Amino acid sequence: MSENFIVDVNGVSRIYQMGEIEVAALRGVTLQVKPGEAIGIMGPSGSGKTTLLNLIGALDRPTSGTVSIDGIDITSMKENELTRIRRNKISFVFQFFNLLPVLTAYENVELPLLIAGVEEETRKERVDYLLEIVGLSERADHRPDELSGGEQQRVAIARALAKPPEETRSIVVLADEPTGDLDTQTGEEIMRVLLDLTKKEGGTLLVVTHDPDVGAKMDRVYNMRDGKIVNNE
Amino acid sequence: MSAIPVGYEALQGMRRKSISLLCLFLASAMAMGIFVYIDSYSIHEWDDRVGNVGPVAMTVGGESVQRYVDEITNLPEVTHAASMEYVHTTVANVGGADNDYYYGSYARVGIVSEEYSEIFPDRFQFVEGHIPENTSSIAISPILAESMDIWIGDTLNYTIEETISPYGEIEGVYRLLTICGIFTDSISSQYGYGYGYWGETTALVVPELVDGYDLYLETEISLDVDRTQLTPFNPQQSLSYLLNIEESIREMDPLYNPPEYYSYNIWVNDFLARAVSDYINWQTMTRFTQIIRSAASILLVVLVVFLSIRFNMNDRRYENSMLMSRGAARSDIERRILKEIAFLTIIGTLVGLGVGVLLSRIGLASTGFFKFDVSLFFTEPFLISVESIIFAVVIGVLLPLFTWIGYNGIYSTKRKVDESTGKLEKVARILAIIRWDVILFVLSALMLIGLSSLGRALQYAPLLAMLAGIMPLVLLVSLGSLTIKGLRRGANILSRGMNRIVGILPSSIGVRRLGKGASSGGITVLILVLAISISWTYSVIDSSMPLTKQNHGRFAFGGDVAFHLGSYPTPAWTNFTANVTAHASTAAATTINKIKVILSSEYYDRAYIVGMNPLEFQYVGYDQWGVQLNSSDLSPLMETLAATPSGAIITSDIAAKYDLSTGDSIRAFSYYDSSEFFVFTIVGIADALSNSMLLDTGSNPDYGFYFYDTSVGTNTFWVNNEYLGSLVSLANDTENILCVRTKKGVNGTAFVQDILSQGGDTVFPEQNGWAAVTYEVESFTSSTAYRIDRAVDTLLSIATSAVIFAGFIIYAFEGVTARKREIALIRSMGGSRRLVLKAQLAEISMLILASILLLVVFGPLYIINTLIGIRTSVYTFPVSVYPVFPMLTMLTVLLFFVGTAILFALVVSILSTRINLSEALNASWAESGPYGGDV
Repeated sequence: MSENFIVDVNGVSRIYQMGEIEVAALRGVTLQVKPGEAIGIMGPSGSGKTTLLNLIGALDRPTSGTVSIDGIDITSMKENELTRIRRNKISFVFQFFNLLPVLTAYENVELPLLIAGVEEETRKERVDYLLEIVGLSERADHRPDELSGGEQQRVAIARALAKPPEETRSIVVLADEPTGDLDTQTGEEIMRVLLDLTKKEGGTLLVVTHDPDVGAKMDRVYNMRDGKIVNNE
Repeated sequence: MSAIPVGYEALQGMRRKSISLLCLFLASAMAMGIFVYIDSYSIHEWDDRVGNVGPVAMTVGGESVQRYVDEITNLPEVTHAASMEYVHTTVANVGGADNDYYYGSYARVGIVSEEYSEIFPDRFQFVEGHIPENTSSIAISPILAESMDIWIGDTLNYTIEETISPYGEIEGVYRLLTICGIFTDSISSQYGYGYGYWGETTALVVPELVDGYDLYLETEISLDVDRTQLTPFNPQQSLSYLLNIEESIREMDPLYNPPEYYSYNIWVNDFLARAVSDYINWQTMTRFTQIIRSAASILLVVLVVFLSIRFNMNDRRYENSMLMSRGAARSDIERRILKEIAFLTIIGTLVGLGVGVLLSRIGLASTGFFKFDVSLFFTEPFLISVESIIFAVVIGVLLPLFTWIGYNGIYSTKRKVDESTGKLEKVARILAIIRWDVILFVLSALMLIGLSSLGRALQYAPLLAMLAGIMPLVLLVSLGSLTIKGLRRGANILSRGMNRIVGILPSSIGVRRLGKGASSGGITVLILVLAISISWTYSVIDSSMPLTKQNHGRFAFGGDVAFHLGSYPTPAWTNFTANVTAHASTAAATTINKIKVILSSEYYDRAYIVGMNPLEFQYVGYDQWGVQLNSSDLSPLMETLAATPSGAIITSDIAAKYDLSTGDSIRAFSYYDSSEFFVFTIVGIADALSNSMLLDTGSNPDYGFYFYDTSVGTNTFWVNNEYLGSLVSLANDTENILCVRTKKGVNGTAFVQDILSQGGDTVFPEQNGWAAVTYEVESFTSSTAYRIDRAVDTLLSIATSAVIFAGFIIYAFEGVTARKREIALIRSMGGSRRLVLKAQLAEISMLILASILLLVVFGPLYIINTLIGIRTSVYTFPVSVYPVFPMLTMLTVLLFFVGTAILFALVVSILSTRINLSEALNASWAESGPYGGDV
């Protein structure tokens, strides 16, 4: 079954030990995503959405259960193996953009390609292409503090899709409240760019959101409450 | 502010508080270390000064003073008292006929009663012999013995009474007395320099010798006091105790009526009070001198405290914004911050006091710069005075307080300017154009050039010399500001340049981060540079001082050893000279002859003519650079002098004053008979010439600004002995000095002692008529002032290591949240820990590279300017200091500090790669909460 899914989360729980108190952020969550899908994860604050995203994105490890990305079980992988998974298969888009302030827009988008060791010519081609798609070719030399919120998020989206060419189709883009810090109009625009670009590149998108409008744009939506998935629309 | 729960503040921000505490205790630790070291070491000084006051603590003299003996004895603090009478008379060597004064001397004769001897048995210490026991004997002092060339067993003519008739005829009563003892008076040394014969007891006789004669007798009461009340722990109280005793004695005088001091019958010489007062002055001056010498280290601490306060403020920026968004006023927030800083300062000061005491023990265990005798750590005395604690607390509290005020002043003005419109904004814009750092840099550089061009004249102006030592620090501050701006603007260029060396990613991220954090990065660079420069300077001074003393000695003495034989040769001279010349340790020896002359009608226009055999002297003497004359630039001139009988080599100051050049004639007049003159032909002009005028090079002054205006090596002629001998009697009219160059490795002091033990000590007309370079160097390096300087240098060097740690800790922890997020982001994109580490190291490498570049400029400048300001002598020499750069030590210091910085950065970098990725990346608008944000 896991071979058909790009993301396969099976009975995953995450329990945090806060002194003597145990806090169960996730309780036995199971979720599967096919390649190319756009999935929304919705729920109130404290429902475990971000925790689930962190586990899928190999930023954290589950207390129990398994997580597979593109058929590879990452649950008990060693750190350097996880690094490779993050490098080739996973990308993040954050609510607060998380661009490196010392780098220009161009350099921020180029960053994952540099980390992956892609050759200079290929890098340049890819970055120019992505910046063109997100409409920021003319702002490539500007630093994040010289860009608006929407522009910064577009740079973040472009960065998320900047992967080695052979891995493009197996990218999993994890977006955590990508429009949370933007106004409505800009937010709509950003979602459009995110969806279009991900689909175009053949990647898979998982979006954590509170916004029903964002949820409405997804292929499927998982609703979460108290660390569990309550329904799947 | 009632919304903030009580206790909220106390336990939050422990990292910030710990780092601030680390920085804030440095000031008090350093001050306490220096002061407690001085206090503890000062016990030696107390023992030397107060402990060496002999059995007589005070003397009381004046008209009819003997009537006060009982009253004085009955004072509660007085342990015992007794009176002694003195008479002033003349004594003469029996070799002189009819008391010919030519062979005689004035003497202050003590008439020692049995009662006095019983009460003060140790007042007179006998070198040989004993106190007179009958009317046929007399005891004399060594000075009298040497001046009259007599000793125990010899007879002298004692004048009991002498009158001069109206016709000029001298009538007197004389007695021949046999010398039964040679004594030193324990009081003599208490009167200090220049007391001389008039007040010093130079002979002792029994009362029966002068009984029945109507002589003018001077009475003096000697007394001792309860010395258990004297303590170095509270010298001021000790001094008050002694002064109260003095006052009690003075009040016995009916004429005593302060504040009118012009009419009184009795006077008091308080030797103990003088010793305690000297001790207090020494201690105060030493503390002051050492604090001044520590100016650079104090600046270092100020920089770190500034960084710490800035870190404190920035770390709370988020928290403060939150509070202000909830309605807190800026003044409320600033008050909270000030309370925390004040609280931490108090704690830091208390911790610093303890650390300072430990530092002081390290200082006491040091026998030189970074040379230790571990046993001294435990055995050296331990004293913490109340004053030291007060000073250390004041410095520990005031330094951070003033730094905080300065910081607040700068940033609140900046904020007001940023927020304002109108006139203030215009003024700010105009001021922003004025580049204060460039102006300060240019001014301080010009001042340094000016000061260094003063040359020897700087030695005459201690305040200017102090300025020369401080100016580099001003230059450093301006350079620091320029460095910060350079880092900020040049980070991009630097990162492009570093691409090929460290890789694109590490240089892009790591090096450019330096530009973002330039304000603290720049100050961290300054801290590293200043710390290294300070340690370098101390090690250079440590290496340079012995060589300086050696070269000064060689130049001043005219060789490695000099024997000042004087005038009026005796047959002993021939043997003596032969012994010296033939000694196994002698490489070469020659006699020079020195006379004082006047060059014009001005009394003070003195010069020295030094007659020599130039071909011999060049194998004995040294030039002002410490180079042997036979290898120096003076050698050809000496050959010319040897070939020109009436020639002279003169110093350039004479040539400049009289506008003379080679080939001109110069005339000099006899100092004692201006009708007698000498004419020479100038064959050469030299900057400075050795004239063997000194028997020592002048000790390092205890009181830093007290010095003689005596120039060594100026106002001098070198002439041929043969020609000079045709003008004057070399033996009788000149001072004969036997100059010696010893073989390599020979200890000159041991050589002299060997010569003296062979009977050479009878040759000298005065005590210690010899000078040895090794003795000079050893005296200097074992002197109290030198040892204290090296010890304080050592403990300050150790303290600077802590300062560097503090500076780098702050730099590392500033923006740690942003750094963590950055690291997490790179890791989330698949960047390895190694890549992250490389980026961190690239940043630190740039910091260190910037430090090294600045160090290359500032380090040597600071060293040289500090050396310029150093005085090792009360005299001024042509070359004040001979710098020695101990490369190995300096390299070790550089590697230690840079290595420590790198190691520290490495550890911090490795630790920072081990972060929780999800925590660091998630929304951190609220720093509280278990997950760092939304879940």
